[in-house]
Amino acid sequence: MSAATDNVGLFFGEDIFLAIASILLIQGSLASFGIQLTPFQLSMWAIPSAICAFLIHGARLLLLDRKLARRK
Amino acid sequence: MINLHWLYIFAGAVFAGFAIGSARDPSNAKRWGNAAFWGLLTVSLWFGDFLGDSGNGILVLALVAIAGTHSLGRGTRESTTAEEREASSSRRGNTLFLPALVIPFTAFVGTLLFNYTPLKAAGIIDPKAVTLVLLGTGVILALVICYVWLRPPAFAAVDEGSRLANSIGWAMVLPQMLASLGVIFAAAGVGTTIGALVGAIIPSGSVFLAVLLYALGMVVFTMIMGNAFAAFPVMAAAIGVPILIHQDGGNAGVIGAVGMLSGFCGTLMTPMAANFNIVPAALLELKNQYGVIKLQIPTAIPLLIANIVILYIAGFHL
Repeated sequence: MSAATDNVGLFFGEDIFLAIASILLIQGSLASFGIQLTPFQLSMWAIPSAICAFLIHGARLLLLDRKLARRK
Repeated sequence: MINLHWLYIFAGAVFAGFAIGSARDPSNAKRWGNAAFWGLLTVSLWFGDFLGDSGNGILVLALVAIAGTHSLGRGTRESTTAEEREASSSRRGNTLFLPALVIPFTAFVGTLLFNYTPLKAAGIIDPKAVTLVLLGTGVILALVICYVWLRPPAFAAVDEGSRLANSIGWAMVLPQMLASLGVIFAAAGVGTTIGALVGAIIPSGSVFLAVLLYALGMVVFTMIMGNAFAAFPVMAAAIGVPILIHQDGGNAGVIGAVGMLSGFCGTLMTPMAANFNIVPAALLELKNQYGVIKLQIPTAIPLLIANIVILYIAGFHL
């Protein structure tokens, strides 16, 4: 269980990380519709979600910690 | 003016380096397969403009053929011994990470400097490509620093680069492949068909409903295709661009970025994203192969709700 939760945390590294590939993909797709954006305008708006991801998952990990502490 | 074409030439040179490094490695029994794979990518980056659509299509099929016939391998050769690396790391400690930080630092600070100083007016770098050009500059800078500071063997960059590339293997071009899949779906009209359906369902003017359908659409398509990269071009063509951006006047940066992140919430919940969700469960020898997904769902759903709220507020009310 704790190993798997550790793993979930790992995925969120992936989710939070402003993977440059995904930013470029968004930029490229929107450019094909004639909407020009800089990577900066896009990565800026990924920050609020990253913060939410950190808060939500951090809270879940804290809860799990408490649960495990109680079990002992 | 330095524009994206320069960057394609540079990226092509990196893949050419991987091809040469792979061919130079006698410890890899399949080295010619690897060299051909990276070589084809070099051709695509250098001459893609001259090959035409069919030429590039055949090139991609050749890449798939090489990967699909298991013609990629990896070698065991290393350019320094474990003892040498141990000695180097205990002597230099964490400063060894500095060259890696030079790359994002150059891209980030460089972009800010470019935008707020007369550099922009000087016309050296294409303003549309500035972040990427500076990212490339950062890579070259970091490489120069490494050679001057650490004095590795002359071929270290090529050999170690191709060792890394070969350990990732064909998965390195997976994002591009999936993005192309999404573009093919969009070109086949899947996006516009969904868009027409959605347009018929939601009364015009209901921005919140459109946002909701856009985010949920990203999640559903991501769960079906296993990757948000493939879902994005479809949903952008369906709802993102025609309804949210053009009709309702939403902020394109928010729609693009948070739309993709909503798709990532789908990635957390689908067994189709086997590399993220199924492989680790197998590696950890969990009893339930969906164990990892089950634990991710309670994070993915609140996160999706947060993303929808961000889309709605930041996209339309800021």
